[in-house]
Amino acid sequence: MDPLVLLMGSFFVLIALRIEIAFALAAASLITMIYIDLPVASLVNQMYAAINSFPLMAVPFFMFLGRLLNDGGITTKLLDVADATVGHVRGGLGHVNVFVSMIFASLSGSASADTASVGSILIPAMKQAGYGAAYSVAITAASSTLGVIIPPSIIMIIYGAFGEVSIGALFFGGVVPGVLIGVGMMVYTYILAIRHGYPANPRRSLRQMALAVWHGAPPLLIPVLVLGGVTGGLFTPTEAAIIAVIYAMFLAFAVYRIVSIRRLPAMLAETVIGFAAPLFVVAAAGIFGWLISYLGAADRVSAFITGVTTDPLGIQLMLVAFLLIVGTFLNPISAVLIFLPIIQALGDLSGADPVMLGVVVVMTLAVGLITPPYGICLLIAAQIGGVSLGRAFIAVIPLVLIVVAIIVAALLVPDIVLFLPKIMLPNVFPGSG
Amino acid sequence: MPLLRRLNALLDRFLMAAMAAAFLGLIGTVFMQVLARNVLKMGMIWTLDVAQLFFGWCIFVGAALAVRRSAHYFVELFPDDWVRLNAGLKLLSDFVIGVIVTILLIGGWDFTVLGLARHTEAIGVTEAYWVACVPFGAAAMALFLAENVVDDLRRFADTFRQD
Repeated sequence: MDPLVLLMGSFFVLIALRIEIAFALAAASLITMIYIDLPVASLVNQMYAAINSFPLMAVPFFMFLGRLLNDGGITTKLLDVADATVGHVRGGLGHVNVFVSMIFASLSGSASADTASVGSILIPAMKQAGYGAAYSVAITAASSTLGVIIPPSIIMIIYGAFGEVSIGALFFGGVVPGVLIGVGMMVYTYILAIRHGYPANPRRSLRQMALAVWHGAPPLLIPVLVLGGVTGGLFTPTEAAIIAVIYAMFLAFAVYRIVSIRRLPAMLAETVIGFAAPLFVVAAAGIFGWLISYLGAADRVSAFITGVTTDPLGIQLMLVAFLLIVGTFLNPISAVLIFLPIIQALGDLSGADPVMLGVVVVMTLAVGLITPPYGICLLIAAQIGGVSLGRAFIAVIPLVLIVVAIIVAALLVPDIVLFLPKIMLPNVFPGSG
Repeated sequence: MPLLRRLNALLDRFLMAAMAAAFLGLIGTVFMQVLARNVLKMGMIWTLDVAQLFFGWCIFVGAALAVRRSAHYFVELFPDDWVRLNAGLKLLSDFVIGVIVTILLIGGWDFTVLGLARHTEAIGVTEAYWVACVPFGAAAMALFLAENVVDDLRRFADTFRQD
């Protein structure tokens, strides 16, 4: 049997049989290594080598940052800022939902943290105000995917660390598409609001608006610290993450004081479990990815694709279609790690800029966060809203189409992604200016 | 079985406290590195080694704690009400985890022994301290897995009793 078929086939069979992804990756690798007579000991070496990475340390820091934002009462402040600025537009709570997700996305890199924290407050409030339950669930889940597109983004960190692409450039590359998706969702909300008569929140006076922004301003410094520090060459993304964590700890424990410092050990330990699960996938994907490269998968997929089309846009669209399918059953971190060699080979084949490719891949895999069966954000939101997954999925389809439209637009006009990183980090793009 | 459950509860408490300390250590070490470079204008290369030490231990021991809580990612293809099939698949998952844990335990031990002879560049300490997280995490996983297997066997048997 072809070892590559054995590797991929056994992995898919194992995950279909409900084996945990990390262990399925390791087990499929083990089976293949025994089959082709490779020393099993290298499984351990490769697993450890995969996590021996300084850029990867940004993942736990940004996860802890998300935890501090939730437990430290910072989300409530952000909701007030969003309500003061866009709540008075027709369909106010829907706009607040999208806008707060955009702000939240710029503070933490996790979509599911956003769904849980924003959803638990806004979904019941939206239902009470007369918004459709399915729409409330859908807009909450869909807007939280911005958490992985607008920087900082945990998936971009992993993509950059393993794909040897500038994480700073990926961060900046996510800004414009993320904002466009957010604006698209707000336009959709406005149209629905007119059609279904959704209300607007009362317009606040200028003083009330200024007061809300003033109270919410301290956490809004976090993206300035992260992106400003990276752009100014002061910090690496990992170091920027630690500065953001220290600042958020100061806000949570000393300024807002909603959470006691006595909770800190529990928060730290729970965060360790929270990041150990995805990073153990990273470790297991180390050996799996190594085997994929060793068995020449990238060349073979490239040869297959060029047999179908040699048009660069056609190749990129096929890649997007493939990742949309993969994203429906694999979480984005696993998908990036498993398919990175193939993604990059197809990127090279189509002449795509590595930064543009990375951002498009992250956006595409983000769709999987709201599409069943994986659809973790949709699952969380549907559970909060008491809506069946089927109804929630139907309601989320138009929002999925908005994200897909921006992905296609980015493929057609790469400068949608590259415009900002080229300005902010010109050294990453030698010869482009 | 009650003894294993008590032992695991104790181990869990200890590891949670140790992981809180290790993660705080990781935060402190990287923060020190940023301060040293940007404020004190000096390099602290050793912080990279120490940060990696905490990071590796957090991942492998955290992964063991995640085994106890069934917090590892998996794909759910079958509906929840296919109780017997899901209970059977959980047992299969326990078996696969058991195989990988065994490899990590044995291979990790050998890796640690090899590490005794190698030293880190920045602080010159044996690398065994770094890689020992693999067999240690695997040993903790094995203990937690044993508890899960008993529970999962009981759950699987219950699906026949319900008939």
